Amino acid sequence: MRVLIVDDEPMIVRMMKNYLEDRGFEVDAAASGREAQRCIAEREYDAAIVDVRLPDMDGDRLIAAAARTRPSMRFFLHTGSIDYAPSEELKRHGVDEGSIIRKPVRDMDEIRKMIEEAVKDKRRS
Amino acid sequence: MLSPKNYEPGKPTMKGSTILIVEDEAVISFGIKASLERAGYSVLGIVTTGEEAVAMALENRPDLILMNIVLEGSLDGIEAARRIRQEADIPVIYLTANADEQTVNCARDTMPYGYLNKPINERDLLTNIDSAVQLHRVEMRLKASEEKYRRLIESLNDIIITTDEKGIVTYVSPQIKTIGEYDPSEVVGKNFSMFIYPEDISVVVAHFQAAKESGLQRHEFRAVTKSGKVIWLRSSGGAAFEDGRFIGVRGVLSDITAQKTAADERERSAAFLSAVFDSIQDGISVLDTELRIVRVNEVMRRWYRHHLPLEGKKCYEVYHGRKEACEVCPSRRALLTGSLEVDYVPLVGADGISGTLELFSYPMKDPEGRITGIVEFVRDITARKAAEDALHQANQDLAAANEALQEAVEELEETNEEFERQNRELIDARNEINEREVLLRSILSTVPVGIGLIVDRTIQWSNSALHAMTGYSEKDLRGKSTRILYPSDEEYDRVGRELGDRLAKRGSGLIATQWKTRSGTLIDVEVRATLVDVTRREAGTIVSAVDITEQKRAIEALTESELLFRTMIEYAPIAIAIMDNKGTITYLNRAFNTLTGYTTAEISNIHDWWEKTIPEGSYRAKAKRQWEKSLRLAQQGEMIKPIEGLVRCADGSFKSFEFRLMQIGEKLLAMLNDITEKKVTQEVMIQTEKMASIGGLAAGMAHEINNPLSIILQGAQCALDRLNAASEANREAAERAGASLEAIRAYLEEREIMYYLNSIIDAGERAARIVSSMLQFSRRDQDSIIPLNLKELVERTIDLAWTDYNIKSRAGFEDIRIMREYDENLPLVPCSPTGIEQVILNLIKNAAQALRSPGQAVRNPTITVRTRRDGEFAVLEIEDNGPGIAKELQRRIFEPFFTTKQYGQGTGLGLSVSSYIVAHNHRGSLTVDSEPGKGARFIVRLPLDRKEEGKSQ
Repeated sequence: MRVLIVDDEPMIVRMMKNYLEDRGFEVDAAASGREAQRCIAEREYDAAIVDVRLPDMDGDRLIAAAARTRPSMRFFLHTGSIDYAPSEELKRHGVDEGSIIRKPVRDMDEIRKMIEEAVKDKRRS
Repeated sequence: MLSPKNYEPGKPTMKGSTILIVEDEAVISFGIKASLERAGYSVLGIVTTGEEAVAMALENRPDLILMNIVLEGSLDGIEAARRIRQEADIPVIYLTANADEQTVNCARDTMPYGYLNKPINERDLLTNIDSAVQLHRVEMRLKASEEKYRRLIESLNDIIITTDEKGIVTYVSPQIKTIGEYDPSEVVGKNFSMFIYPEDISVVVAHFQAAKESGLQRHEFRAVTKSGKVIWLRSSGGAAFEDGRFIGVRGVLSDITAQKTAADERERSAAFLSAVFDSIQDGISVLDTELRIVRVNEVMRRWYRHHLPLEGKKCYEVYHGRKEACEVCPSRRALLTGSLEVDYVPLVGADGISGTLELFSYPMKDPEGRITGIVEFVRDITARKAAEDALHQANQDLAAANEALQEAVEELEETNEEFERQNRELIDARNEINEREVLLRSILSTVPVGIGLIVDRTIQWSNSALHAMTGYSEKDLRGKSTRILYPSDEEYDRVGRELGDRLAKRGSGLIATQWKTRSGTLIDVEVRATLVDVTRREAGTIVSAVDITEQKRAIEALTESELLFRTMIEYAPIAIAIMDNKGTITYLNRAFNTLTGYTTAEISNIHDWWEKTIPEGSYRAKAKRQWEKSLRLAQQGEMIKPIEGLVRCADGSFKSFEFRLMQIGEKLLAMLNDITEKKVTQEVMIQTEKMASIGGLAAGMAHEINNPLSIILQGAQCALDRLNAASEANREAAERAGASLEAIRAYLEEREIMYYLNSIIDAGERAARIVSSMLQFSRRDQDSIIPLNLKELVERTIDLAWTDYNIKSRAGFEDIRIMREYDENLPLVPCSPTGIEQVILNLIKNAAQALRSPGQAVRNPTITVRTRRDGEFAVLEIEDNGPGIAKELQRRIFEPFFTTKQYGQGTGLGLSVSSYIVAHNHRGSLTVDSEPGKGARFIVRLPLDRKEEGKSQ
């Protein structure tokens, strides 16, 4: 399973990457929206975890654009904001309340489960 | 117009005249030029086109132009001649080769002086030119002469007019415009009589007829101008005859209106003066220097009728019947002095008129100042003179009468002095009596007491106060029975009887009765009677009466008002206590009893009050000091601020009161206002505000804190994850490092590094909880407010709490008993399910933790959950039988970050968040009721009616 982590915080990227790779995931990382777009254009991913605030664009925008070219891909939003809610457009791309990972992450394994289940659902449907 | 053929060609005498040749054929033009110059003419020039001809002719004005009719260019000779003619009078002779009829007709319009047919022979040329130049000169002279005469006529001031034999105007000069305002064209062709003033028409027509025979005579008549003005004209002139036949008149009309008007004016002026002269009712007689009468007015003619006419006679002959001038004559004096002289002279007139005249003589002077005569102005003063004489006589009579009167007056004065002397003695005697009476009277009339002298129940005298009181006057009362003052016979009899008894016994008596005033009003009076002379009852009684109606009414009103205020105080909604100076409580109103539960039986004095209501010693001392200070100020009459105090009621509950003290005479009034609710509301409001501001702060920084917090938590988790023995990768990495994973773990355990990592996770999680709790303050409840069954909500939450790992493990929920006291009739309560669920969970958690406080073993640990209705509120109570909360902490427990729990046991936000949810999101209140050692009861009050606030908050 191939996952793209998009976050400009290198520590977060590193910990998530290590954690998921230890569990057999293939993980790429991008530190900006543009970098993430390049990755998505070059390779196919099953899922992406996108920080809401990226240095060059909003995570929302990145997902909305990527979801159009990669309809089979699953997206998760990573945010430290307590009242963030996905926009209507994101909901149409399948990014709902259940796709929000709120910081601080108290149990890393929750993330793994979320990705595996979501990708499984997607493949079924 | 004259034509050249009428003149015989003579010798060329006009040598030197300048000629312009207009000819486009050079052979011809040069030929002509040579011929002309030989004959002594000067040739101005030769031009070949019409345009050149016009320009040169107008610029140089030649005496003659020889013009070829056919020319090149846009202008032919005829057209050029026409243009020249419009500007200047220069004779033209056309040169033509073959003059056809039409060309000649055209040329004739331009009035040429001749035509020369080509080929031109020199004789024709010169003859034509000579005659044309000559003719032109004659014409010019004639024109000038005609102009001269025309100007002469037109510059005359008079009108020249000619008519035919019938009188129709054939010519009239332009002056008619100035004098008669007509345009000559308006007059010519009309009969002259149309312009004559109607009254004068017959005369003027007669003159016109006569002119046929004898020529026109000078005469004057009036005419009417165009605008209707009447003017005077003088005509002169003569009749015109042709072959002995009358063909009309040629005349001159002069405007003589101005002269005529001036003459009229003079005549009118003279007539006016003459009328004035005659209308003056004094005599006026104008004399020359020889005293000869020149003119007299009507009055003089009347007086001296017998000598008419007076003019021309000497004044002394006519006026005085003398042969010579009088010796005394103001006119003669005036002739000498040259100024006004006045004198009286006798009047001896016709028909026996006689009297006295006042004669004013004015000398008349010419412009050089020489005296030319005398104007005598004569006034008949006969009547005045008679009146003056009569007046003089009367004056003399009056003086005589006055003397007689004077004598009589002197006699009278003597008698008068005698009278006055006697009078003074009389007055002195009376004054003494008066003084005393006046004093007495003034006393009696100024005292506000009605006083009367009564003899045998009959009023002899009464003072003004009695009048004012009863409405009767002195006259109304004098000699009347006192019955008049009483409303009934019964009362009259009673007073007579009772007062009579007292007078008989003590010589005076006092009785209260009612009188009826004159207007019928009943008044309450107090009547005091005293015998004038005790020994003689018949001397009468002095009665004084005081109107006590107002006094009585006031007493009644006072009683009524006292009842009113007593009732008001009794039923006032604030507690009122009245005590005396010694601190004895004399009165407590109903509200006092209902609010505090105390009666005067329990608190009979201030000491009881302090003991019962404030059980805590130091607080009591403080409250007493405040009370006494306030009391001092109240006694000084100052406005004092109410004191606030917490009071224990008879049932043991505490209420907040606002005390107001008021000193009224010897009494002290204490008013107590129950402000418990207000205090609670105030505190809740303050807390809510505080929490909302924390919420705002938290919302701003949550994101910033959550990111590092995430790194901390994930870092620690990842660290533990990489020590996980189950991971193949971990094992391999350990091997590569030359140690077994077990060895590494053992090392970490031993050095407590594992414990550190776990602690980092714990602390991170707690921080995360605090941040998320703080954020509760910033969030309005996302849920809708919906009507819920409170009982079901509570039950669901208890189940949730039971399964909560934290509560179960740390508080040991297992052995806590839950008591349920639900009000089954409680209606559905509008609330947000998640919000209230969180509140209930917090309160149950708190209760459980209180029951499990370390070192405080609670027997039968119980949590009681209770619902009930209180008016418009649903009340939920969660009570525990734990150690309770000290009074001073009760308020602080709702403050954010205030906690009594051990470090790590709570966030310090549970109660404040709960309070915020209840107060801010539900408009309710969360309070606590507790006493140390007796457990704690948390009370949630939720309003049942939230219609006005909409569905969600």
